[in-house]
Amino acid sequence: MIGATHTASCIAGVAARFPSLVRSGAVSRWLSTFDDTLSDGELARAVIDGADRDAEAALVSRFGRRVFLYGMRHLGDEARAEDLAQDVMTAVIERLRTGEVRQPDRIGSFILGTARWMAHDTRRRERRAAEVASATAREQSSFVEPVEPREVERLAGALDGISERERAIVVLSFRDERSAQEIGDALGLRAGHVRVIRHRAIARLAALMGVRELEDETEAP
Amino acid sequence: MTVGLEELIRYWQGELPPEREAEVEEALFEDMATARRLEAIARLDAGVRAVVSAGALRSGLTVQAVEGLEQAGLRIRTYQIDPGQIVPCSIAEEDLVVIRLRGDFANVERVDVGMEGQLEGVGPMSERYDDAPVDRRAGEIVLVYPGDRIRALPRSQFRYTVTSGDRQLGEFRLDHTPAS
Repeated sequence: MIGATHTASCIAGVAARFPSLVRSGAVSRWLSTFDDTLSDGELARAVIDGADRDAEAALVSRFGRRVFLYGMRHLGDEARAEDLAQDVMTAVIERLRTGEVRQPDRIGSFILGTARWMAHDTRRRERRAAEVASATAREQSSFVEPVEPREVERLAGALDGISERERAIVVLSFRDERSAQEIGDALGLRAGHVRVIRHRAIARLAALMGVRELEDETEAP
Repeated sequence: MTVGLEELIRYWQGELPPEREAEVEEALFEDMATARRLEAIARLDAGVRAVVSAGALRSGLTVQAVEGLEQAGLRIRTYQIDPGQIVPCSIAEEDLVVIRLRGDFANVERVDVGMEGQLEGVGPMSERYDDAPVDRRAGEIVLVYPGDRIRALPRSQFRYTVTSGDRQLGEFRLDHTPAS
């Protein structure tokens, strides 16, 4: 699934532009995504100080994936989201190194702003080149990093564990990228009802898959 | 502040108004728990796509969704059945088999589907699909099965019974012969 593989790829991309980052022991730390031993501000200041190269790796690890998720949402496929994550994190590290980030405690907002600007620029360039991806292209690129067969089997089993209607709504939402309104129109349900079922279905799937991040919300509103 | 699951799902699906979307994105970059949650949703999304792509899906869907799967390159064998009809069926190399039950389902609040099978050399089997999704535009119940599951069947007969409460809306039969 998207995740560790993407993070490694993002890190590799950034590391290629900053060869000094690649040194013994650093890579394994980079892969411990969302390491939260330091606050965002402390991490940014450590990069500005320049004393600890691992801080740069930790910053890429912590925020690269968020930029990737932002890119998936706004650019529509993994390849472009990955490029965005690499470009944004490269630019952010450069700005930190040169002391251009004035509010390190707000590094998250700074990265988001950079991501927005670069995503906008990407879209503008693509429009100009008439290269806007089709739905088919998105579909193909979504499988650039195949999900492990064992995970597919587990998730297929979990999908069998939710109700017929929940399963259909999850598939129509994720695979077909249909909104609650569109699904409601297709199945004769109100959009609000679709959202409730979708929420409940995803919470149940998460529980069946042992996805801890989503387990604290098991009841739909 | 950590964004709730419901709102994050709506963000991921592109359903939030722009101002709220911007607020969720601020939280994504300021709050680690929000980032973790969105990551989990993205993983589920990718996983569901992979299940479908692997031909491992058993679900009710819509005609439009099945057409989308075909356009994405999945090999699909489809059988349309009218009430009372017996349709011979089989499978070769297809990824998915789609059974389209046609009937007067469009204006029914809820339908349940019972499936009873008689498998040669194995015996009887049954499944229930309670509150099955109905494609309102097509007026059909569209059932998707993994190709591997159908390929494993011996010669067999299946009867689908569609009901709404106590009312029977239709009975549909399939006569399955394994590929030689």
